[in-house]
Amino acid sequence: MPARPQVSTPFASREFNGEVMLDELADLRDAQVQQQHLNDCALAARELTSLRASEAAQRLKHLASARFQSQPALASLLVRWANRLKTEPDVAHLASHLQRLAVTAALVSAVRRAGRRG
Amino acid sequence: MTSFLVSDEAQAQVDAWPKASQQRFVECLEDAASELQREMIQRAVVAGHTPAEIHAFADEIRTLTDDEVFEKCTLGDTDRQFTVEQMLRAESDPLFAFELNGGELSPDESAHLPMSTPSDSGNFHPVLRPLDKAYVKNAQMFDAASRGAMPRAVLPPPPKELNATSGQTSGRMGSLFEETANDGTRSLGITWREFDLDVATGMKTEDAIPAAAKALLDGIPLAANIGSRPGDHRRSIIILQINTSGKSRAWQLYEPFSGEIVWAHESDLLTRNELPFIDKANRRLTRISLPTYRSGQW
Repeated sequence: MPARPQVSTPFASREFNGEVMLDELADLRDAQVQQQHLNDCALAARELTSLRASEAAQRLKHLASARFQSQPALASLLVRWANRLKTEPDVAHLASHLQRLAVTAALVSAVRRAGRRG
Repeated sequence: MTSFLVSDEAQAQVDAWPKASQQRFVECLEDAASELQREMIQRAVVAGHTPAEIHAFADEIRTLTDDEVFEKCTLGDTDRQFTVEQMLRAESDPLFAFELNGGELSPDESAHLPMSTPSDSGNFHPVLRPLDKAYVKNAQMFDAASRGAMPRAVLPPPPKELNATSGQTSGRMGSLFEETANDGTRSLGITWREFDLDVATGMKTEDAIPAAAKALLDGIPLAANIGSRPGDHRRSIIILQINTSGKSRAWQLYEPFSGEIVWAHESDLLTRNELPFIDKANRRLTRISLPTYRSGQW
C-alpha cells in the first residue's frame, strides 16, 4: 500500500497560519491590497482543493498573472506559494491559509476601526 | 405615509443608522405584506443586523405568506442538527434562522453608505413612534395562535458597559465591529456575532470555548476581547489558530495594536486567571465573536 503523501515542511510549520501569515498580512497591508482582492483570492483558492499539486500550482500562477496582475504584492505571494506545492495535502493547506489570511485581514480591520471609534 | 409601531429596542438601533438607511427601514415596514413580516423585520433589527441586511431580508420575505415566513424564520420542529448557540440565537434573530434554513440574502451595502456615524443620528424624526406597553403585550400574541409560541428573545440587549478606553458608557456593544467584520467577510459566506462572556446576558466561557474551537479547527480565525473581569473589554485580540498536542490544546492569540503574539493553553482560557500577554491585567476573555458559516464550505 503506497504511503499517504505528507504535508511539505513549509505548510506543516506551526507558524504557517500564525507569524508567517501575519508577516504576509503586513506586506499586503503596506501594499494597500484591498479586502475584496483577498476575498477573491480565498474564493479562488477553494476551487484548488480538488486539483493535484502541479495543477494547483499552475492555476495559482495563472491567477497571479491574470486576475491579480494589478496587485503585485498578492500576485507575488501566490507565485511564492505555488512554487512550494509538492503534495496534494499541501494544496488544501494553502487554500485554508489563503482563506485565513482574508478572514484575519477583515477582523484586524474591524478591530482597528472599532478601536478608533472606541 | 403610514405610521407603524416600532419597539423601543428596534428604534434605538435604527436611530444609530444613517438617515438614508432609516428611511429605507420605514419603507421596509410600509412595504411589508403583514404584521408578522413587520415583526420579523423589527426583531432582525434588534438582533443587530446591518441596514443592508435588513433591507435584503425584508425583500426576501415580502412575497411569502405568514405561514411561510414563520416556517423560514424560525427553526421550528426541524430534524436537522443545530448547535445550542445556533438555536438560542435563532430564537431571537429571524434573519439568522432564515439563513440557517437555507435562505440566502444579497445585501446591497453600497445602497446604505456611508456607514453609521454618531453625527448621523439625532435628527431623525420619522413616522415611527415609540412602542407603548399595551402594544408590547399585544404584539407577542400576534397572529400565531395556530402555530404555537412565537420566537422570543432569549438574548436580551446587553447591558451598558464601561468603555475601557474612554471611560464612557457605550450603547449596543460591538455593533460597529460586527458591521465592519460582516462587510469584510460576507462574500466568503461568514457573518459574525459578538457575545459577552460570563455576564448575565451573555455566554459562559465554557460554552464559548467549544464553539470557538470548532470554528478555528474549520480554519476561521476569531476576534475577541480580553480584560481583568467580565465586562472589562480592555484589549481586542485575534485568535489565530489552535494547536493540539496530545490531550492539550494551545490557542494562538494576536494583539494587533501592539503586535504581541502568544500561545495560551486552553486551560488558561478556562481558569480565567492569567494569559501570557505582557500586561497581566488582561487575564481572561471577556467577549468573543463567533462566526456563522456553512459547514463543509470551510
